[in-house]
Amino acid sequence: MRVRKGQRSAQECLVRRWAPRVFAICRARLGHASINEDLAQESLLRALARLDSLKEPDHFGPWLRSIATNVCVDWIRTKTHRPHTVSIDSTDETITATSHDIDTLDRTEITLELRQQIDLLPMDLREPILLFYYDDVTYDQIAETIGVSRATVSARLTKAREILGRKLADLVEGVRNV
Amino acid sequence: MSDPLTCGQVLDQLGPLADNELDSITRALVESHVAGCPRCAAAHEKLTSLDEFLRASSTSVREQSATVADRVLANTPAPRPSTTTITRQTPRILRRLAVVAAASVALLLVIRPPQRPSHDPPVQTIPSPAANAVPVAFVVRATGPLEFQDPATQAWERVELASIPSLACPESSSIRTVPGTLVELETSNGTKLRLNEKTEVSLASPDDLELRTGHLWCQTGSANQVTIKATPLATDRDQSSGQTSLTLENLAACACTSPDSVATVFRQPDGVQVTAGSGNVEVTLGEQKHSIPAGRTASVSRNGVEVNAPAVTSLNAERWMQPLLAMAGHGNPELSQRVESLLADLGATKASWMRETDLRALGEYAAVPLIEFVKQERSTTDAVKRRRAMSIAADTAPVWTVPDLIALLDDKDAAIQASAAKALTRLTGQSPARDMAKASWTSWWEQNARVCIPPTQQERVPRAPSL
Repeated sequence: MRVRKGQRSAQECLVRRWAPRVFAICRARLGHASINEDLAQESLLRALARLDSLKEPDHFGPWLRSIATNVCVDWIRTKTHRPHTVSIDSTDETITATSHDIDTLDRTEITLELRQQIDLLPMDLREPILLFYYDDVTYDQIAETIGVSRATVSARLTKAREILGRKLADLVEGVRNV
Repeated sequence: MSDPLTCGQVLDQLGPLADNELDSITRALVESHVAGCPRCAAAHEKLTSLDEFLRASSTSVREQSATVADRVLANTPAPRPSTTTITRQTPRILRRLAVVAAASVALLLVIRPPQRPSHDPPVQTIPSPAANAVPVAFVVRATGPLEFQDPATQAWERVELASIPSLACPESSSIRTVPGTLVELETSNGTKLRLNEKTEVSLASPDDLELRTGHLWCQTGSANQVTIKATPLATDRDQSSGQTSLTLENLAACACTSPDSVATVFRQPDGVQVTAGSGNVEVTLGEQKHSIPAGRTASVSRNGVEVNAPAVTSLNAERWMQPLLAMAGHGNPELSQRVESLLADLGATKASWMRETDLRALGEYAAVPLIEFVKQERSTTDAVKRRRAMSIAADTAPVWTVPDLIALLDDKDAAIQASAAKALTRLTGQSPARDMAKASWTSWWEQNARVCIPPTQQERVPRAPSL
């Protein structure tokens, strides 16, 4: 019973620890689609079901990433999703500002727009940015997950931030000066 | 000692610096360079600002990730112990990852903001006004609960406007909006007032108001004049003599002195900001009177009155009033005007994404005018704007617009046809084959039209009763 309990606690820790990373991987591939939660769930379920087949435990991150990638690719190939309403209350892109203060609304709008700008980044820049901000990971962990060097992660994050920084300047200028 | 790093090298390291990914020696060198280099310091500041926005954008994602984890655990049985070699590795993986997970969860718990205690007063039944109390104004719509101060008792009471047709405000009563609530009042002389959240006004008479805190918009309508005074926040106390004196806040006032004047007044900690929308708007400070041209903002402070261009356009500045405009219902002229202004700006400026956001936020109240715009011949001169308008309407159009959407299936622009089809699929729940689509949706409408009627005038929030 202690073993079972210990395993359940460890399983829960594993799922909660890796859910943000899997979500980031799905988001990197599909943008802000409402299906991201479902695909992240499916990825984690598949990983748990196939844990026995993982030969090298140290490669769990890249292994999980490959599962999530395959889940996303499968979905893209066979999608039969119905058109969905994109309203301001969409659970995937929620504007949660209840304040009607102008500055707070502007920051919220800019944040939302910036999130959408991330989706426009090239894939090799998008994934490290999402992994970094959606999950509390280090450069080494990102490097291990996506299979590149630490220096490459640093360079890609720098490049992504350069692009997003220019977008942010445009957004802020648009709010102030128009 | 010379700086061993160049700006180019430092700029490449600003990201790792912010991410705490530098070793101690490199970190010290980079920080030393940034401290002495304005260019790199500016770049570091920009990166910090970007980082804040990106972290803010990930907040809701963390909640979604937690939801994903909950769902996975709910659908996964606890692992069973096994004697195979490979399975024995499983607990080690889980234990190893659990250590990292526990640290991460602890971090998330630390950075989660604390719950704020609620200070809302208990809900009470509002008292009936005294027989001889003359209403100064009526609260005609509110997006949430508000607080009303009875002049007789000076007690604040919470009012849920949804339960009463309107709230009569006698002389010397006060209104206060709670966070998240917007309120619209009409005075007995026709002045329209809109209060932003966390705003408190005192109503001395129909044309004499006091803004104690917050932000309001006013329009005189047919009334000739309304004066809005700014309440003193505190009196100055002379440190040497101990005497108190009135501060300039007591002397500042905004007056709309002609019919259909529009002004916005913003009570700030260090003064008052008045933006003139139209008509004659004056600001008084002590003995000085300043006329504010339409479209300009007067900042009133201890330093005097300064008139400048407003920091934001009127289109942005009036965004906060949208929920009140929507409450006034379909077809109200001000709402139509706002939709038209947003549509005119759509795609025209860098901030046009905000216009689309505003149009979507208005939901069906913007969808109906947008469809009307798309139907007009003049809209075909701007195909891009027409498509964007239709794209928004496709997601927000109400069910009674089905006939209009069916008609748009024959539009010359394929993008308009596609948007109309998308809307019809959403509204009817039917996804017929392309060649059968129009007939199918037409049939659906014929069967359901009687229950898909637009709201009537009577269903809108009633206006203030005439005195």
